[in-house]
Amino acid sequence: MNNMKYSICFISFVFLFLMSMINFFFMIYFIMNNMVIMMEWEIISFNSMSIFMSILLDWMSLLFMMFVFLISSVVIYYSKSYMSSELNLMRFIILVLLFVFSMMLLIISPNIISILLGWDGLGLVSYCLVIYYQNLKSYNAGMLTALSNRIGDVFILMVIAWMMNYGSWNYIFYLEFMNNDWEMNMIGSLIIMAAMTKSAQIPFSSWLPAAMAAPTPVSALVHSSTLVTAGVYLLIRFNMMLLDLFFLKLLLLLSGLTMFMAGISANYEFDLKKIIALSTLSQLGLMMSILSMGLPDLAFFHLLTHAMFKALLFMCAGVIIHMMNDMQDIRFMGGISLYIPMTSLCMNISNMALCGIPFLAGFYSKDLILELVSFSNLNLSIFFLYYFSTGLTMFYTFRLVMYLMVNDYNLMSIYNLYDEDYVMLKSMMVLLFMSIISGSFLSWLIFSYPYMIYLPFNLKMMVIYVSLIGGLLGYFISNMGIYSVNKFIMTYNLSNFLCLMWFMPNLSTYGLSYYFLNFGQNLLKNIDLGWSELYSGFGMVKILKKYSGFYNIYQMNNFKIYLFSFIIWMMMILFMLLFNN
Amino acid sequence: MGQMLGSYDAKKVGLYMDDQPTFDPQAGFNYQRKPREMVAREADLISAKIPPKHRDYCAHYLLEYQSCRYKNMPMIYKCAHEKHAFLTCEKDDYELRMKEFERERRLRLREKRLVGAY
Repeated sequence: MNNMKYSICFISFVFLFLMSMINFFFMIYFIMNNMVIMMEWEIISFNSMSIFMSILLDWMSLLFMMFVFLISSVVIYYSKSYMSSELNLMRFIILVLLFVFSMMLLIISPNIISILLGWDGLGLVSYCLVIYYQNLKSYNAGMLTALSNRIGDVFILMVIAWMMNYGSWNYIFYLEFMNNDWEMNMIGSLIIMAAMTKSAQIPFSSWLPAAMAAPTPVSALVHSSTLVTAGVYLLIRFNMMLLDLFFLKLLLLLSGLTMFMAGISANYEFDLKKIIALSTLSQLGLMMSILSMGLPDLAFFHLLTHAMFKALLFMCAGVIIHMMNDMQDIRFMGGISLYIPMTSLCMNISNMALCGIPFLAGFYSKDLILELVSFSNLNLSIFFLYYFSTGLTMFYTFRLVMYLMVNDYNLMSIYNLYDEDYVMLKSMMVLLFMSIISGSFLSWLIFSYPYMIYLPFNLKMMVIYVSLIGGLLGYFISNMGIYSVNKFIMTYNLSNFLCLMWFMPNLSTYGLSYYFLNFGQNLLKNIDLGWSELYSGFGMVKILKKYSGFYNIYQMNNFKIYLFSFIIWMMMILFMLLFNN
Repeated sequence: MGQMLGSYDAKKVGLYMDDQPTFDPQAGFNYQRKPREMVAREADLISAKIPPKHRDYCAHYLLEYQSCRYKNMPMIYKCAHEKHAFLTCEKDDYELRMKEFERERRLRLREKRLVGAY
């Protein structure tokens, strides 16, 4: 059985890693020659409408595929150790491979029908992976994830219906030529809404932290670096069409609010994986907002660097959770750098990359984004949302590091402290290397036309100012003693609002279903069990029974009854005669 | 943001960021001003597949950078000098446009003062 486990993980790892390398070389070749390859197979054609299976290979799709293959290969290698006690490891690996396949369909396709295949595949596999540990919490989280994503699927279906007017579903041909068409604007708005569900923007944010019920390798691959970026990738592809839409401006506000909300909620959270999930949400907001400012290449750049360090962060979290005897609450952790120094090193570096500490991966993308925000002609509130959120990133990262590594150990499960797991460490080292170099490498590689930025000194240093303030606040907050609890009670309602993601999980679960369920219950009580029962079911039987009993008595030909009715009639006639006079 | 703050005052004279200069370019200068010169040739830009929005007055530096990228792929850090030359040119161009914007603002103010509206 062990050999079996070894082989499936190892074969998948080798296959995915080789695919990643092949994609890398092709990507270099494509960028170098400014090449695009498009292939089409006609599947069916009727009434001047054709359904094609299309493949679009350009540097963007190849680069994204390379990153997805690389992360999935190391995640599978990591799963060999992380999921070693799993009985159905084969099932798990097949699900992950199915996920990679769906992602590939989405990445390479310029056709909205094959995108739907990939899109739906992602939703389905993601549901299967969220409910992988079969318990009630996972089922609820899985249902929330699947149904939220289902809304996006419906929007894509509506786009397919709208695009039938053009006779083909190859959207890539219509992006520029049909730019001013009213129908194309409609399609653009629907695509934005679909992307918002997949990338968990407000008001569809609640599923992302809930999806943390999945096994940690899945979180590393699916819910941080690949699945959630599918929406961003779709909008990057559609970007040239969307720029004039009002809806894109709305998206700028919503995504700005998403990153702000996620940043604040992460500071209130104590679940290790949920903190990282909320940080993912915050970074997704950043990608979406820079995308809605019309800079898709920057969004793509941040998508790639973020994928690397966030997958690494989740993998480190997985090691810590194993070590803490499956405990995820950071209040029970502390001082782990003494027990697992190499994992702590990886964790610190990925955290620093997330914060945008110079010369790590996140710095190149985040700093460029923020400088271009400063450079462009934007509303002041959007500007503040960007900078507050950057400060908040530093805030929750510092708080997390203080809880995990600096503060004292809480002796919750000291018997379980063990040495580093080298299988997991080896896979983390690959991502560690990428988290350090990918920012610099990609910034040279993908920006054929570099951005010129020209800012006053203080505006240029603004990122460092807000980061320093955020870090200091994070340090103070993590050291808050129990005396501050009383102060929190004073602001209980506000804390509740902020830590529950602005009540969004409530809105998208109870908020949506409560009134409908309540209405249904009332219908059941009043109509099904009430009036309709009275008039049709139970009531009718009762009436029929009563009257048939009554008639039955008549039909018994009882002499007494005839006599009695004769007397009554006689009395009535007598009365009538008497009173007539 | 910086641009917004910098151009806020200009709205008083009806000047917005995308406006073109309206005064005589030579007004108030003792020497002959030279208009900017497009060095890169259209044919070269087309053959290098440079998108129209990047075909500005610094496009000749961009062409050099692109050819260097092609030669050194994937070790593009070797093209740091070409990139720097391009960005410096872009920065000078930006500065020039900002100065022209400020000149336009001051000239409009002066015009208003002269007619007694301000």
